[in-house]
Amino acid sequence: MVRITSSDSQEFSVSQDIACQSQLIKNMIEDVGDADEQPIPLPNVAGAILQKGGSCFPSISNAPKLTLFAVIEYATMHKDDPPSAPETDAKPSTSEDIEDRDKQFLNVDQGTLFEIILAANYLDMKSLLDVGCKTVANMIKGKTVEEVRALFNIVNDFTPEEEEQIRKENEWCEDR
Amino acid sequence: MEAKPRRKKARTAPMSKFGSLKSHPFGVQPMGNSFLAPGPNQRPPADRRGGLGAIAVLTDEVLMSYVALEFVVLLCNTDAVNESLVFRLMRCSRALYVLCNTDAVWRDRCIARFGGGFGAFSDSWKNTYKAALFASLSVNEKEGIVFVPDVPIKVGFFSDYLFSSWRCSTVPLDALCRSNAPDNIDRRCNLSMECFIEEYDKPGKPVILTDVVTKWPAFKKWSMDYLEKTVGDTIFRAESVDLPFKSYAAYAKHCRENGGSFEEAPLYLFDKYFSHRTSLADDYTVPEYFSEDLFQVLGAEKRPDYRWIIIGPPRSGSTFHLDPNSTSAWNAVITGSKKWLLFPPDCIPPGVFPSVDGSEVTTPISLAEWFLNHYDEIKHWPVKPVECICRAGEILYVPRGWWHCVMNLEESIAITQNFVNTVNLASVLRFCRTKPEQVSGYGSGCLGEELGATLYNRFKSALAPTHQHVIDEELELAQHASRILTNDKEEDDKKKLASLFGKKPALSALAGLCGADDADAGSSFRFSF
Repeated sequence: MVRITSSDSQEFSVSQDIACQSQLIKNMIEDVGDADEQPIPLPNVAGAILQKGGSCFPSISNAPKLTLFAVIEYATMHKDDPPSAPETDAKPSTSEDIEDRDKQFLNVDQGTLFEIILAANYLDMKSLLDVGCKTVANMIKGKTVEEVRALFNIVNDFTPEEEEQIRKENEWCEDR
Repeated sequence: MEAKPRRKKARTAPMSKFGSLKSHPFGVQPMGNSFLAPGPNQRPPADRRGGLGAIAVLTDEVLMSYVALEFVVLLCNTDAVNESLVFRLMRCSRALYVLCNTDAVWRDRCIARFGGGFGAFSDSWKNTYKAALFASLSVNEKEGIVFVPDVPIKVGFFSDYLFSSWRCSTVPLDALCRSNAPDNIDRRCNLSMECFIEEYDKPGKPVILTDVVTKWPAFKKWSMDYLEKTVGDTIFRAESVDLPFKSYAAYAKHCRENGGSFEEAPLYLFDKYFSHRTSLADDYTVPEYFSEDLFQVLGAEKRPDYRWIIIGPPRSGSTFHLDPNSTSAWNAVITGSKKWLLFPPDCIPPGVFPSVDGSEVTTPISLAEWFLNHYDEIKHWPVKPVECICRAGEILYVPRGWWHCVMNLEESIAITQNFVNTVNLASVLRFCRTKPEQVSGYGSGCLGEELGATLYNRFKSALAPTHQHVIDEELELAQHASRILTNDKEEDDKKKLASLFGKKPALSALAGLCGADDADAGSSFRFSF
């Protein structure tokens, strides 16, 4: 078992095969060894707010912000996945081919989604990062610039001239 | 007469101890500047929270890697329409405009999408990408489009990540690398073979030879123009991309014409196939001092890579590393000039953190960043590294085991070769035997790994007729050392072992004193203000 602590000092105990889906943790274990049985600190990842009366793994959609918790749940879900083929052999993927279980897993509020992407980047978990980015891409697809702003609550702070220049420079590139 | 009141001159560009920096094209400033109120009539720089909305959770760095890799992640299959969402994102707000347009990520994107086929380099990677994209369209598709190259808008933005990179790209090189500091390396000419071996090769001491390269045809003939004329269409390797020389030349020209401050870590041409693909190798001869080449016995197909042509703009170069397989090397500058820093074996440079087994090295991403943040630490070290500028017509000898970095102060063309000779043979054998997984020079992939794993045995067999005694001695010494170590497997024993092999443990102790061991070896090594 591997012990991990989050930025808010929540401690999690996970089996090694689940923890090592994070390349970062895997490398730490390989470098340091498990001689000390010290928990691995992850100062960049917020922990969890454990639900009252819930099982060990309450449903993600109930809780506002459980990044490390969510990451562990993802890793647990995927622990028996076959290792991914090397990139050169893999068929290029589209944002369409997200597994249903992952779609459900990432059906969360935007804040949580971006926190998960941040955590996946920090923990070096490629498949979770890919799925997170594809999810964001799917949110943006088909939307106009105005609609994207509304979606993410972005303020348009261009002058009309700037907006026009940037549109001319970039618009035709969008669908290629 | 009354003295005129002195007007304080408004500072328009950030100051650094190296002088005024160029102003950022998007008006990026360090985070700390956000505490300064904007001047009257000055537009406040872009607001990050408002401009990113929910996306503000991501760090600048993560958002930019998304931009760089989006194409790789979302590579479409041939049927579906390829929607590139980054172009839409960058139109949403000033903050997103800056983050999605920073040129460094467009280099990654351009190479990911077009490989070495991006054609003529424009005035930025983004414009090069757009031009290549436009060129790939059909006549019909082109019809509706008015091609407008990007012209950066100074919208203003606060970001340590972006500013740090800008600073690394623009800080003047001569001040950064202390080009005026005196060299502390021997320069020799008319050096006899015996003297070279006794004074430099055996003790493992670097030296610059001044009368070798000047005799090469390459020295008289080669220039970027000459190479473009003779091998312009030949493919060369530059880091992760294979491209025709003329494409690289256009890029290098752009870097040069921008005073060497176009990029933080310019794309570096480092090619090992030049001797197969061109006749350039005819223009130089391996100097006599380095003519012994024991890996030759493995045969041309099964020996590790050993010769490269190296071409790069100012600010390009190599971060700190050890040469592969414990070999020694020489580096000959044909045109240009290179700043070198060399640290003796067991003396790990500041800001460099090798893993315990040496297989991974954590160090700042760019040379400029290392020079900005760590170069000064050497002032307090009792052991000073070798520092020199190797100029056109000179050749530098790098003994095995010396950590070194190289910064091109001008656009430079050079040749380098690695070699195994009588002096370093035992060391190379030991490396190949004890660290087969770290053997390099066979490329990646299964075949490469197998060649690396079998290198010791193949080398041993091939050398048996002539060098059996060295092979035996190396093994004996290792067995003798392991008999001394009984139950104790602590790190100190590694140092005891090192002393048996003639390394200087005193230097290790000094390195420890200077704090080289206790730094935080994180994988992301950005300096933050």
